[in-house]
Amino acid sequence: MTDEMTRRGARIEGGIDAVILGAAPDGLASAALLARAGLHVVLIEKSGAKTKEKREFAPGYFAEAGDPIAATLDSKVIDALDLYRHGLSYSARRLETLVRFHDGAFLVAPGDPALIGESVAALSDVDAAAFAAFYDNERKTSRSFAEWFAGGEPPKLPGALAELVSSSVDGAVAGRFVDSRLEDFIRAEAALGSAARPAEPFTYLAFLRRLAGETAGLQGGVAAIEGGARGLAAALRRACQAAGVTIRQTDRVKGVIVEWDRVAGVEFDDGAQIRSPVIISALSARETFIDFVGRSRLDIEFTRALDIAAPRISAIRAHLAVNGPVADAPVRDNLARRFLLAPAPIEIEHAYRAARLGQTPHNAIAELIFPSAFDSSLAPQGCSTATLKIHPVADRSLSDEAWRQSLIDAARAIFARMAGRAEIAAVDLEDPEPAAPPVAACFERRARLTGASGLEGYFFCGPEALVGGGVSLSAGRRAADRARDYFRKGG
Amino acid sequence: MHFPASDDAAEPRATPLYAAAAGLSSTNSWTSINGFAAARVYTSVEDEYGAASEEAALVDLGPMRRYTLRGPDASIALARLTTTPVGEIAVGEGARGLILDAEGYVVDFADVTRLSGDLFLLSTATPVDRRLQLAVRGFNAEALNVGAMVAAIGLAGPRARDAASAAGIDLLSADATAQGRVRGVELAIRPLSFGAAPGVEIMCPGEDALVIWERLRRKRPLPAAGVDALEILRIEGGVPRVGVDFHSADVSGGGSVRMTPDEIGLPHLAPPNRAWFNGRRAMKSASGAGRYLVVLSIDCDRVETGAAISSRGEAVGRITSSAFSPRLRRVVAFAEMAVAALGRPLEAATPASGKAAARLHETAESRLAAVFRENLRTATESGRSSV
Repeated sequence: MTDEMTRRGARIEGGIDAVILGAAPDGLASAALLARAGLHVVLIEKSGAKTKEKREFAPGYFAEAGDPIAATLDSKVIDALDLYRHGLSYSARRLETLVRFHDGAFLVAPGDPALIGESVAALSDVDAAAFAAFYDNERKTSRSFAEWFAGGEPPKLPGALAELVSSSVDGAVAGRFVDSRLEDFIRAEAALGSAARPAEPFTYLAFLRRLAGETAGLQGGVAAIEGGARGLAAALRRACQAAGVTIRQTDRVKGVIVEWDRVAGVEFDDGAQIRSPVIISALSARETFIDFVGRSRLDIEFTRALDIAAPRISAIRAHLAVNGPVADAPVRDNLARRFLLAPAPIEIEHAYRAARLGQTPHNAIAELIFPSAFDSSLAPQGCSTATLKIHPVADRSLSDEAWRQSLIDAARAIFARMAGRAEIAAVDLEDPEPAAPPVAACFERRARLTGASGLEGYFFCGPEALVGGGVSLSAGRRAADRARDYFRKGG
Repeated sequence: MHFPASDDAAEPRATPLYAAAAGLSSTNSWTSINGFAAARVYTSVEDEYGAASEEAALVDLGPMRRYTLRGPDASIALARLTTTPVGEIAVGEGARGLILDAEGYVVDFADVTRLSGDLFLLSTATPVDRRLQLAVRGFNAEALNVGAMVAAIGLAGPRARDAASAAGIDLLSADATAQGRVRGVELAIRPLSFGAAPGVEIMCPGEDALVIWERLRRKRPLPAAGVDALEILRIEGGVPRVGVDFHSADVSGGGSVRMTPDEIGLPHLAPPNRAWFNGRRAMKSASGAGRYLVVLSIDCDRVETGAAISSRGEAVGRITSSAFSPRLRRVVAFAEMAVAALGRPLEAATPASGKAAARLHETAESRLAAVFRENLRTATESGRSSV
């Protein structure tokens, strides 16, 4: 039961054990986990932030915002919240990946990574056994990193593995296979969404992170979530409701109340307060700490981590209305796949350079999904929608019409390279998605943000708490675990 | 007044007072502090110490670092950067404190003076430019290194105020900073402690420094005191020296070399129940290494830095800095000591006789620290420490 009182006209609400700021997937997950642990939880989301419906970007063509596929969903959260019972489902559990190389050749990587040897044989018979053994070994290795990627302590590694942590992708794979296109495949998987070039140290960790992820019960697999990001959010909301989380919408959060060295609740613009010994924020780190707490209550070294400029590199996601079939037979035959463009190393270098210089990407790593292949309501019959993620591109605003048009042209060209010629009726761009900092920097930043603000009762699971991109839910789980322990020790 | 350890600059720069200081130096014994030339001894350590502790002596304070912070948020930024109670000091008042890192370890000393409503002067022993820039980021305040523009003359000793007045510098109030114009030169003058000796600091534009220095010496020929004489006063006063008795947390590279305010014997300069400052939260939970910096008096003429302190044959500490005190007629020394050994009989290893009796020497700082620790202990026991 919530206790309320009014002081000088402003409402003060008590009896609440935890307040969650932000309705991102990690915020929803942490709210539901805490509520299931018996805490009285209030989740505050920004007005209008409720799950958006699919958007019609061209007559008859619909796009879902966010990532249509998932590779790193935290199975512990799914089990703990029973998300399948709350509507989480996959439209495809073990997505094949068709990798297109710079010379037009392709490799079909099966949905089950354990079977990759046979596929490689079709591309390079001489490498099949070596690549299968390599892939299998790296999957096993990445397993020992999984908890670290998910927010746990770094594992104690033997010398060889410790060396692997600091390796660049180029250093780890160069010369490993007779057919260098296999190296291009690994290079593209590691660099997709990362601000670091494959030649930079620690980038091999990004590849291991990709392999360590588990989705739909398969390590290293990729799955398409029914409804995309919206489907996952809807399942999490239902889990919150079932657990008794109170969800409120407001844009009027003024700040976090800090009393001595611990948080004591949330204050609103009108002076109203929600008193609570525990606050978890799933908002950005700047909003969480600078806006809601203030620099004057934070250590200089801590705020310095928040001030470090984000990489000026991003990924852009384009939705394409494909009017009719695509020309390329391997793509046309099965659209219910993930398609990956793995350029040559020199092309990737040029792409990073162009991104840093603010120039249009002519070549880039790209990931292509046809959401209409999983949900036929997204496109007219005989047509399809395609979601193309291009990386790296310059971090520039789409309000610059010339830049916007150049990205649309690039999306068309890259789509044609991946799927062959097709009639594109319309292209719609989502806002740029900032590239994830290099993995080592992510670990450093995460450790600082989740543990070093020094404010008791304040926990963080915003985007900066993640290592790498994509939806994971592990940051929400970690924050909920720490908050629950703190609360039970007396808050 | 806090000088850091001497450095090894090959060609130290000249302070605005270098020409005058060089003219007084008959020993030509110099060292480098913060990259500036500083006289170690002008004539003799004993004479300089005698003047500074009983009369008045001039000190070139050029090597100290000075910054101004100006703007509506200057007090907030300074209160965050340093442990000084900036919000409580009025115009003209000053306060001393420490600069801590985020983990609660000591970076440097900080003397803060409020020159006007939104203008502060910050004096430190070592350069803290980078840390200061980070501290003001996001605040409506501007930090400026004024070290190159300002000259500072110290007057150490109980007759320092008289000496200043005799030179026509009569701006002094009892304990506040005063600013004004004397014979056409813009001056600021403030009280300053030289360890065991009181004193004042006179700041003026660098180009006028020699004029003021000579004016101070015109009425009566004030001697100058070098670093070695000041070192005796420092140890007698119980003020540890950055880079000698402890390492700044910013340069120590972490680990057990860093020390908390309590460990350097100055817990009263960083009270955990003061409004928030950088590192306060971590300082409260920082685990000390079970050691303290203390001042010992040792019955001998000389001990070496690093010499062992023992108790009943067991090594319990080491000397970090030392000087022969003409007043006490024995060595005074800072020593890093195991807490458990503080109540026990102590001996110091000496180069001459092998062993010499050592005992804790009470200083002005150690008295303040003892009172502070006792108050904190009482408050903690009665459950009032954190509110």
